Amino acid sequence: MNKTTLKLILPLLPLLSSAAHSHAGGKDNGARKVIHTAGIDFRPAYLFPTNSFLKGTYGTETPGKASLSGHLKYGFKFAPDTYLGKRYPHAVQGIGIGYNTFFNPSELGNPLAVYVFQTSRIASLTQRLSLDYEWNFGASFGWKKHDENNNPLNTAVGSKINAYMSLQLLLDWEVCEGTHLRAGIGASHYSNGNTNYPNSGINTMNGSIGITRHFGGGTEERRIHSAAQTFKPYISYDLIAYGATRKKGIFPENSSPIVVPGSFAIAGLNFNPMYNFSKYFRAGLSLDAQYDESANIADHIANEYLPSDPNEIRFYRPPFIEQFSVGVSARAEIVMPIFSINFGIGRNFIGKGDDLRAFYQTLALKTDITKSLFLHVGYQLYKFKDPNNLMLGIGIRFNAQGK
Amino acid sequence: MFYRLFNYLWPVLLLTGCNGDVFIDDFLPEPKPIVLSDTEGNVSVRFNAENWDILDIESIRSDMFADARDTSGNRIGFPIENEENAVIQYGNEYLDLRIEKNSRSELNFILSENLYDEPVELDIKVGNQYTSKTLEVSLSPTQKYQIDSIVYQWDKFKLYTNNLEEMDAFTVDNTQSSTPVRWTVFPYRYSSRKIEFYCPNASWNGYEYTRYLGEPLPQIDIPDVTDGKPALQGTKARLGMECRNLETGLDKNLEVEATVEAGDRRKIIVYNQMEIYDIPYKAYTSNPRTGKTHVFSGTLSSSRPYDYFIFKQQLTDEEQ
Repeated sequence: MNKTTLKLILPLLPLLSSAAHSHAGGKDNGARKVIHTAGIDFRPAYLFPTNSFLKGTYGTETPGKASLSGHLKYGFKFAPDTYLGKRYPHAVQGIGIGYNTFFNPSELGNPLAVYVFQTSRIASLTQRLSLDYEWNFGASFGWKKHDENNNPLNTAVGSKINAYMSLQLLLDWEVCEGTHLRAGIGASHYSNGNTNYPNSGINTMNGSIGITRHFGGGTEERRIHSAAQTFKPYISYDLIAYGATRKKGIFPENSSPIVVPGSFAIAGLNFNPMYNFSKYFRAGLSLDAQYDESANIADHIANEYLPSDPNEIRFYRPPFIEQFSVGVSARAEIVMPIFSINFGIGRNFIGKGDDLRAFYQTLALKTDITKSLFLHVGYQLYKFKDPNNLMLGIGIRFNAQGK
Repeated sequence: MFYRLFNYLWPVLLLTGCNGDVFIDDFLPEPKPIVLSDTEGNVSVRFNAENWDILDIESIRSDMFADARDTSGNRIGFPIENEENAVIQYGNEYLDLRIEKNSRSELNFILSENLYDEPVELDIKVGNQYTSKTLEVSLSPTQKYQIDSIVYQWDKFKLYTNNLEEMDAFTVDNTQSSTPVRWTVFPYRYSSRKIEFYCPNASWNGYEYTRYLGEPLPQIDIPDVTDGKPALQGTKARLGMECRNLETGLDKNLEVEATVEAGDRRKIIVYNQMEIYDIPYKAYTSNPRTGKTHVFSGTLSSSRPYDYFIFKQQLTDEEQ
């Protein structure tokens, strides 16, 4: 993802404060609208040996079975008397930085992750204990990427800057008023979103322990059960336009795979009517149109003989119908303040060629800018395994309700 | 609002670039065979893009040559890059193909003539540093030349009338007989007028004639001799390197008796007395379709019997 990720994440950060202000509408203008939080985590992790480098096949300096990261986080939650505070009393969102070591600085580096996060409660277990989740999404900087000459064994990381995403399940114990001890397990993924090769990425399973402190806010909100807000189901309509770039590898018959030089353009449009079942969940069908400049180029190699130098490979531009697809996907979306997480699975019904005749899966983070406008950061897979492309764009929500 | 929208949109706009460098235009998606003939002597090939050069012209024939010139008439070599216009003259004495490149997206093929009796196939290779494509060109045989006129150089006419040509010979042994023996001979039975068009520049079999004029070769007026002077009197012979045998007008069944006396032994030799002449000629020919001309020049030789002579040779003891 490298520069792509950077360009994506940087606008997200000021967006958080902007979004906080635009969303935190309270009855009493003099009342406090947000409650600030700060936290620190440590996450020892196990690296999944998902490629030969991580398996230590090549006799790397350190086989790389473990990592450790330390995280500092700032966040905020909406005050109990605000609309969102009443609707999502436990949701905290903010930014974090995480320092990672894989105990192999020469081949992997010690990347620093900068991310947005959101955490909330899944279930209250006791008066002071709850089961929470937390997701992180951002960019990680300072990787040692694959280099044929200087870092040839690292076939997992292809970019200096990679996307970072993580999901944690945590037990949250309020040890004293405003202070929480949180521990649990989670999984993280680092990769460049197929914007560069190699793109195997790093996947970890981690433990987590940390402390979070809420500043202000009075008594623990856990005990506050605001009057149940009535929710009337409704249909909203998301229209999303996105773009991205991607790398492309081809696998010619009787020849070694070739990484095509340069990056290819992606552009897409989703129209996604969704039924809002509850304040936390909505689902529907999405009509997904996408143009992929790299689609099916393997069927249109121009070179008379495959070149030994990948930089020499050229293609005839495939017909539009081999680069443009339209599909329908089923979408499910978890709705939280500012952020929504959207899952989709679909199939193209328009589009020719092996690259387009496929099931696809999507995972997207929607960041609300206003009630009706949101940023869309997503990723698409083909056949549940083949990384396809990022989906970076904006969306408009028609018939959005709430504040 | 718009500023804010742009602030969030610009990363997307920045990232949606195209990877144009790895794509090249397909200058000729589906090359079709090109057939040039008398009726379709001019064919243009349109290219979809300008990223092609003329790389080479190939033919299984080794006697074809390509002469490529730029617009200033300077000779240039292959590959001929797309930036430059050019004219390529391809062929040899019997094949004339002109390939014109007057723009970056078109090639014109103009067949002037293919005098071979079978199609001539050639491949035009066009392409760039990544790929090449072949234009398969088939040149059908075109119309042959026709004779416009025959010009004899009368002042170089040479006549010889005292030559004898042996037509038949046999020995009659009558030594054991007491009476003479009579043999009937036919002095003109095997006689013919022989015509040859000698051409010093032609090949041994004279295929040049058939290449230009087709088969059968045309008949032309040849001189007859009257009172020692040549004159065109309507006698015709086919042009070409092969010796032509014409009828003489003499009686092939003419019988003449030759007598060998008793006790004698003779060799009887039948001669024709020949009228022979040589005269330089020029056959002016032209192609009715193209207007191109060609001149065959050489010497016409005629050898015509006009009398006979029977010689009874007495054989010596050694010859017996």
